[in-house]
Amino acid sequence: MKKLLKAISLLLGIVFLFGMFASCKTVDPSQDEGSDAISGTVEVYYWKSGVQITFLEKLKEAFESEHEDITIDLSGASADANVFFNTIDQGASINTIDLYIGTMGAFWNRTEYLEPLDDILDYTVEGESKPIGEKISTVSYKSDDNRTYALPWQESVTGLVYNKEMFAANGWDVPRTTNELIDLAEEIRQAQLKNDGDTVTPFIHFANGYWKYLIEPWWAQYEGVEQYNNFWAAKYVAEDGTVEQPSNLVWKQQGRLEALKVLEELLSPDGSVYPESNSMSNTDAQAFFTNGKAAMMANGAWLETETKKELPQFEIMRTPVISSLGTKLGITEQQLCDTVDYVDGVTQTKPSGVSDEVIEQVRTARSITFTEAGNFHVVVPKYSDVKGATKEFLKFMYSDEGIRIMAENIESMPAAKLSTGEDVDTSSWSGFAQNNYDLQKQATFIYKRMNYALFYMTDLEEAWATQPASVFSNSNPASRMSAEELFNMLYNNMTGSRWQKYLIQAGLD
Amino acid sequence: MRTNVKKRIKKTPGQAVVFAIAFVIIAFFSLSYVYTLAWGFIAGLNTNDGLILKPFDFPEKLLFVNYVNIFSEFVIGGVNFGMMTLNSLWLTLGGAFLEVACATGLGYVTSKYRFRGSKLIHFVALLIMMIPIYGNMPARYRLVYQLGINDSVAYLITYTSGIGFNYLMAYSFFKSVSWTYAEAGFIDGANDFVVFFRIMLPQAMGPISALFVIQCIGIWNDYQNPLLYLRNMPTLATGLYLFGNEANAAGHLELLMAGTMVSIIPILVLYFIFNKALLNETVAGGIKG
Repeated sequence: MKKLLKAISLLLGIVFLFGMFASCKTVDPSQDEGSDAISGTVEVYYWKSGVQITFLEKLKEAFESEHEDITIDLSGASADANVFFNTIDQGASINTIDLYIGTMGAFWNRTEYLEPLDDILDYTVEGESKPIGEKISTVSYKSDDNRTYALPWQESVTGLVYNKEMFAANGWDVPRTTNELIDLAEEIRQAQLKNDGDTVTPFIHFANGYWKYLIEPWWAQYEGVEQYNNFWAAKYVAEDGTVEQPSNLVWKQQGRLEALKVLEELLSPDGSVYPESNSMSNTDAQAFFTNGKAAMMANGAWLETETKKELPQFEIMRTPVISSLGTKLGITEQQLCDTVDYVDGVTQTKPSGVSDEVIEQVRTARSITFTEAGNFHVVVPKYSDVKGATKEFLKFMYSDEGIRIMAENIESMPAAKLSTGEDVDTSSWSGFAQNNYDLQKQATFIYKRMNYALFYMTDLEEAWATQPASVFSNSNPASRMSAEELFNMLYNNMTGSRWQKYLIQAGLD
Repeated sequence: MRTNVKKRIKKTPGQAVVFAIAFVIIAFFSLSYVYTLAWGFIAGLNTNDGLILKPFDFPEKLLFVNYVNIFSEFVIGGVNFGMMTLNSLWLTLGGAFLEVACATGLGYVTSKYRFRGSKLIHFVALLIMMIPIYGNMPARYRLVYQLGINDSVAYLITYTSGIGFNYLMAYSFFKSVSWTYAEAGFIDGANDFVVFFRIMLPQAMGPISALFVIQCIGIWNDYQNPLLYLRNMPTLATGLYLFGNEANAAGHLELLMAGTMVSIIPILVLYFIFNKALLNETVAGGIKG
């Protein structure tokens, strides 16, 4: 008996010993081509953010009814935004995710683990007149090897959300230009309105803020969309047409300074921003805002779904045109306001003394809207063993049927349009969502482009290394900076040895 | 004849002052815990906006329905509150039992028996405890996934190492227990197993129960390991962690609070059952002379 027990113990010990070496064998995930199987279970990771997962559940239902041999598994959805970065390089032996739908701005430095999706773009769904690539309008994800590794799935509208009821009750007009916005902020400060013991402030924001949804459009309005996009390529185009790339001079684009000046005027006067905004979370700030503690908040189309409330009294306004654009174009503030009214269709009369060229420039400026579509991607791991099935699901997702399902459940336009060019049915949408759709249809979208190595190989993830809003609204006056000081600081951070460090990291030296 | 008479000990004025001060401090400390629990319970009756705007005010309306809604709304990856509780139970009870059982067995054997390798095992046990956790976590992660014991009850096997703080406690305890008990057993014809299970182990029930409860509390509250290795079988702790992230995004802080309060009930029940074992230790006498 003792010998038997000793033998069993020895055997167990050997089993455990060999178990220790179980993880020794490794396969380089970037060399693993996976399988193109067109049946099986597709495991989807979805980033549960402000956009609820309902649309995916409906897509799954509709897709599985037409594809009996493919199952879509949504159980891996979570609110963890880092799942992609933590799992994509682990390979098939550990990572079983076949499809990522979420936020992964810097995926460009991991394209070796991703499956090219050009065949999806080239595919025409049966009964439709256009390939999927022509239906996706906003964001392009072509990499250096001219292949597409990601597709956009959401085209959210962002901007300045305002409390319509508060505006109507106090006779405040929606500003057309940044000068009108500055005057409105002053009027709200002077009004000293009370809400349950608190003074209503013009603005509220949270620690990391959403003010880039205003200052980047203002920047693009002033410089033009092309120059804004050149920033994300670190491409400096001199007046004589010479091109320098990469160049840190893009950090000196005048539009950036003009946008910062506007923000400084909006946020630095006392009483402009709800107290402790700089230490709030986004959900806290949204709760205070939707309960009437502030008149306006930079935010996005997800505000309703994120607060789990219908918000008929709130609306995203069209981005006010930066007044210094008028100065640049040689027209007065009044002429700029009249031109905005004209391009908005408020008046049918052309503004006096304004050329057609200037009108078109103002029209474009007025439509410039920042979208997070540059951050919201769909990617497929190269080593997935059901790539064929995954791509079938993606083809369905970007078909007109899929687009209608997404639109109905997101209450927003997905990143792909219907092949017929018609609008989606918004009759069941909330007023807030319908207004967002109207903004979306006329928008000239700008977005964060991370496909240049200077950005995706380094920690340069945002156009602003320091949050301008918290600098201008800091409760400690000694910690504040002026717009010029911040602008110069941001440029100086990209000079000398620091600039060299970034070039080396990006492999551009 | 009464043998257990409580005698009232008379305190000096100085001692009375010290006791009074200590009483006030401890009472204040205890009240702070009670207040926190009470606040947590009331927070679960509030609305999301109420919790954000006026977190310390009494809710305008008490929404008891929140404590009902958590069972339907608190869903993570298709797993509801009930299933998460079940996952917590099997992981906690199974893991704690295996952890303590293996540590007890290993501690007993290495402290009481001389065999080839016994000192080496003890040395390795101490050495392993010195390795920083961040050094072995990636290896453990890879091992669990390569063995395919993730998302499975088989994950319990990771609790059978027998090495760790529990081993040290068991080793120290059995080292202090006289071998005379065992010799008495051997004389009466008992073998090693009978001596362990019927003589030594009953003496260790006090500390073992305490270790078991402590282990239960630790595993019940652990969200990190289930998050890594039991993604499709979330426990309550993992569920609360994930829901906490989603609650912020989905405007359901009140459900998070309600879920948190309900999740502590099982561990409170366990504590009330075993608190005497935690606080007291009994030693059975049996040695003459």
